[in-house]
Amino acid sequence: MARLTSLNSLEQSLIDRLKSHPLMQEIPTIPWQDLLSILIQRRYLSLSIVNIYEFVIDALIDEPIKKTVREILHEEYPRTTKGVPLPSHREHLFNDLLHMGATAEMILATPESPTTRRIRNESHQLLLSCLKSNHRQAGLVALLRFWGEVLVSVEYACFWKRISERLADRHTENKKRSEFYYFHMVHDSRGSDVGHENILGGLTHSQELAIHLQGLIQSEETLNYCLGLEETAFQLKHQFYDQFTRSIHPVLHTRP
Amino acid sequence: MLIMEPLATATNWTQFLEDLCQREEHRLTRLETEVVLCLKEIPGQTKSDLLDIYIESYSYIEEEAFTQRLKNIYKKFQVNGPGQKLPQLHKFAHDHYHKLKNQNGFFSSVGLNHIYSQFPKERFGDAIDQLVDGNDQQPKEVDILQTFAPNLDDYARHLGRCLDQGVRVRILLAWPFSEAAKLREMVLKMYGDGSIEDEISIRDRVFANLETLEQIIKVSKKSELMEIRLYDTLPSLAIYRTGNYMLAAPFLHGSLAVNTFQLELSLDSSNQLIAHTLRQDFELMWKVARFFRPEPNTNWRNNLKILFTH
Repeated sequence: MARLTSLNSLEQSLIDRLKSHPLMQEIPTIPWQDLLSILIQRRYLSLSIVNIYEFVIDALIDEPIKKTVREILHEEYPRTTKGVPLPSHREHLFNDLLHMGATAEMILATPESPTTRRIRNESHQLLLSCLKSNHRQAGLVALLRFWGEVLVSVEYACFWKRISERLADRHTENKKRSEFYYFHMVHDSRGSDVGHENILGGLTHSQELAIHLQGLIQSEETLNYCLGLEETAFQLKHQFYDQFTRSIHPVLHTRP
Repeated sequence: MLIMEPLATATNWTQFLEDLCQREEHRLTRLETEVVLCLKEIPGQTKSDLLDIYIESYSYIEEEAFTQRLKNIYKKFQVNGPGQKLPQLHKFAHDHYHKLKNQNGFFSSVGLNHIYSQFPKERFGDAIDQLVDGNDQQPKEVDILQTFAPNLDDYARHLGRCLDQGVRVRILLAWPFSEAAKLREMVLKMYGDGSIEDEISIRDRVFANLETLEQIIKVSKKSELMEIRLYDTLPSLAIYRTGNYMLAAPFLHGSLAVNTFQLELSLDSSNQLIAHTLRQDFELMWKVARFFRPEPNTNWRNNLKILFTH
């Protein structure tokens, strides 16, 4: 239990630090075109998530954990029970951006910035590093959960303050509903401290993985390994947003 | 399909005697059964009276052969007290008959009409039609409480008719992402009989139900009469109710609720012990469950995923 207290304490502090990132603080006043440019860069990380999930499924050994990860991945590509494919989460992301005012060309033709590419590659390298560790299973789950779910929800919650100006969280007359940002903000969220998941009510993706994670953290060494990974995952996210704050006009730096 | 538990279902003296003779522990022959069927409900018959009735009802028989047949009957019913055996046989039959009548009276008073060995598909469809078409004073409501309803498609037409004719429909299903639904799925896989339950995915099956309901909503002009709520707990009974008619079945470890015995109940019984308890529990679940509508042409799966997480 003391181990989970350390984990929870670190996570909360990293979340607070990400929320305090200068860019997150500027979100209320960023011009819309710049905000869209940031979200278009952020989309490249979203697109990489499928490969991250596929990698983790292959790298994991424990079948029940694989099953959880597989189920989360498959939610990205919903189908009817008769097998008819429905719009994927990637399509929802694309449409949310369109409905906020981006053009298809902006979304499709804006190149991935060198920083975004570096962050994406380093995130992948971090995942690869788990394979050499004695705490491989715990590391893969901790990193996937914190990088791919917990912090994602924090990022979208920060952006939601502006996104909600143009998109709604439900069907309304005036605004299109956000099908990507709002729902990921909710169902990816940390939800509760690790070890405090409730059997009634729903589990978010973070909580589903947290249940596996707490079973894997059986020693101080494993705990410290996971804390290190989460700290690095936070740094990567931080650096991703740093690229937009190097000038007075935040996103100029990323423009080709 | 009907469970024939003889002593629990016989409705008159003759039927009772017939059932009694057929019971496993007695195993009377057809000829012996014919003798027993000559027993009158009112006591006081002599052996001679019995013989006369037999000859009149069946065929001529020598008294000696008749006596031998009676002896076999006494033996099979274990009528072996001192003194005359025929009054003892009569008493034996009478005691059982009155016990049964008392039981049946009780079952009827609490509204238990019947027990089926599995879900009576046509019976429930007919009951819905009767509610929709009838002019009686039954509440114009149809309720279904299930984890998922494997037979929902059988009633899609009936439910559509309900909405068109102003009958309120309430559907309570498991929230497919709940831990409770996962637990139910695990139990069915672990303890099922090795047939359908092995491959079951409750998530998929609830989704399939919601797709069916989406279609019903899509084509109905009064779809607001259809209310759907999802729960995250583990109810112990599946309920199918139409007006004052209800089928209730337990969620057993080894099988789907539709594949086990079904209690057929009248909800307007004089003794409300069962009816009131089940209705109250349904209402409680209805209250704590969350509203959900698979709105046609929307991404309702998104709403479904976060139903209990915000």
